Amino acid sequence: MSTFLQAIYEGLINGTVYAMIAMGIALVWGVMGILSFSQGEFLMIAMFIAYFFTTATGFPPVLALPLCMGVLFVLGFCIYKTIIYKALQGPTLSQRLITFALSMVLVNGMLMLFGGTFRTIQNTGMDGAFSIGPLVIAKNRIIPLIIAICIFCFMLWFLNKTRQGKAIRATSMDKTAAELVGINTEKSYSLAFGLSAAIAGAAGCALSYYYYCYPSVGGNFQLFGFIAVVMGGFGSVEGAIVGGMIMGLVDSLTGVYFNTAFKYLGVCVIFMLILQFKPKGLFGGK
Amino acid sequence: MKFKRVISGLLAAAMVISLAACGGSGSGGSAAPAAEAGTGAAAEAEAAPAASGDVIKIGWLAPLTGTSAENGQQVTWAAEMIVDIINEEHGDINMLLAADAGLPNLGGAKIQLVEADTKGDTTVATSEAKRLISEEGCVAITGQLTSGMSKAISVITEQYEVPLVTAGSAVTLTDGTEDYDWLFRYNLTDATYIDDSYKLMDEANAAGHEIKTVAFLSEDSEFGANIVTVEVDKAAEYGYEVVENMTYAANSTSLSSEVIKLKDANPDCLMVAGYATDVILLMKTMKDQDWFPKMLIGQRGGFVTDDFFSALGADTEYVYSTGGWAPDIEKDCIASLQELYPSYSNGIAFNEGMSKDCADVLLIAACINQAGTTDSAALAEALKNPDVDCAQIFMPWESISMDENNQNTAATGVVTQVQNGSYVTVYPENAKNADAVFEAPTWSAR
Repeated sequence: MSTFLQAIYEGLINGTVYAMIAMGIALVWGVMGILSFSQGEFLMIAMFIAYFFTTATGFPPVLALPLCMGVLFVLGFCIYKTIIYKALQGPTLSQRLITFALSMVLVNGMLMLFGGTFRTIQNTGMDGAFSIGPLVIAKNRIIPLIIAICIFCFMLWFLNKTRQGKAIRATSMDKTAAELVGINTEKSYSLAFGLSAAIAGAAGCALSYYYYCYPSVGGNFQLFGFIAVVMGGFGSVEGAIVGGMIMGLVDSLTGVYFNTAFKYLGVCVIFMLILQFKPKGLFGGK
Repeated sequence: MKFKRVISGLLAAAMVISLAACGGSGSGGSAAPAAEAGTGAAAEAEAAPAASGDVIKIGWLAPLTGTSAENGQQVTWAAEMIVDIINEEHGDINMLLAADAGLPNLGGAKIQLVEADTKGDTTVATSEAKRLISEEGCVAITGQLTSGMSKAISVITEQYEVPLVTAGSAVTLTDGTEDYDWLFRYNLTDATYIDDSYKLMDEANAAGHEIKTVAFLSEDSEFGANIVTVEVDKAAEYGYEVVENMTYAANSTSLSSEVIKLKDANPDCLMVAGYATDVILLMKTMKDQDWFPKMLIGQRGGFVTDDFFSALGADTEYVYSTGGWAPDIEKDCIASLQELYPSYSNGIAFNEGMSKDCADVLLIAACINQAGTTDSAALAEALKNPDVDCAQIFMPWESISMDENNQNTAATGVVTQVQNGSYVTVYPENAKNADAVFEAPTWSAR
């Protein structure tokens, strides 16, 4: 029983990171129909910010969260205004590949700036673990979990309850109709791209608590983000959250109860099964 | 609008610069014209100049871009240091070929390391090996090569009849399974490293500690697969019960399920074969789940990299690693190398991961000097019967004895343990500088 509970807990923790990456991808796809291949690199930049912030100040990485999200939002906003905006006026293939080129630039740019050294935050201010019954809970995994829950709640509130969030959703449903009712769709696009980068910023800050940081780290997570998006339903933020959590749980439970060598096989089998019964993903409608 | 254009221009410039940095193959060395002459591959190699002027070229293959670039660069710096010592007069260093400038038997000819980037990819390594031989005229090939890469490159070196000296540790490279005439290995095979691991466990038991069960965790490429095969075979031979045996995909996003299973099995000893990224993640995950075995023995890989210490700091304490080298081995030249290397590496210390590949460079140069020529056959003969004073090599070996498969059977290894922030030799008895701490304390007790 203790093994099962531990596997569930670890799966949920890992799932939150996949879910945060997936949310950004889902938002950008849902609003402007662009595949954001640079989401993993936004996460990587945030990990570097959290690392250098913690190293320089000695404060825990969670205090770097506003900085990570703020810097990434501005970066995402500027990238949209200067690169994505132009690409959206070009052929579909350019729109699809522009973020791929961007991810190459970001990885190699960071490699040039900081080298390929693996960095970890050795003192997060949350060392050690405690037990709740049979469950061992590492203190430095609690903050990432709280960050993820806050981001999920904020995004769901923002998109469903605020005027600007509703404008973004309206733009994603029908851009022309949104413009006809007076919505500034251009603003919705730039905000959505900035927000997706900021979410990756939060994910990077959370991940820096227990994962190493180096320029190519984003690639490790991005593929899982894409699978989570498709599993949840392309364009659905709620679906991305559920997809990410399912992936984390399947990954963990397959590893523990089947074979660690085939845990990614388990993820892919579940992914294919879901698409067999729900071709548009869990939240993708009919 | 102007602002947007400026930003676009800057981003485009950044893209070009960074892609250029990414694409640099690092094929340093002179760009000698391709040797087009010759009908067969061997003839082509022969047609290429073996030594242009006073320079003898040795081909050096290492990952200079990609995930392993940092490590590949560090090893390359170390190889460059060895070549500089050979080429310049270093009477103060008691190492082979250090006293004279260049190779004395070839009129002071200098060694040139022709570097090529493998990008950590076997296909790239193979095509670069071919280029180094046929276009650059390298008389021998070595570098930071995995066993898998060595096997792939050997197809080229056998074809061109050029020596390939590797520190890849797979037993199958020199056990006669494949008929390699031009592949040489002076360093240890996995069998010796793993023998050392079990003998250390035997010592722990002899000292009254209860080490009865063992678990294996290995990454799933050729490196991990070769090691775990030998580990499993030898567990039976040494009488240890295997309670868990797992493989995982390299660069994993999570090792939580692996650690949960290990914690469940609770082996007395855990043997790990993995690269730096996964070793760092494994250690952090074990700490998060508050579990550490009595003995954790790393099979080199990520355990002997600078990243292991820089990323984990004090959490590395009590970890063992098998190895072909340790900083506290009693050889005169080691202190000199440790003093000199940081000037090449921006302060990084000389370590086990680079020592083996550098030793290969030194031995190739010594054998060229011994042969007195760069002729392939003569060089191969010298590599089979090197006449070198092992006191002047920075490896722990007392002699070199090559068997019929070109494996140095006299090579010996060490087991080191992190004590007070650095590896110290704790096995074998005649080389140890500290007593092993056989039962590591739990995380909370540290």
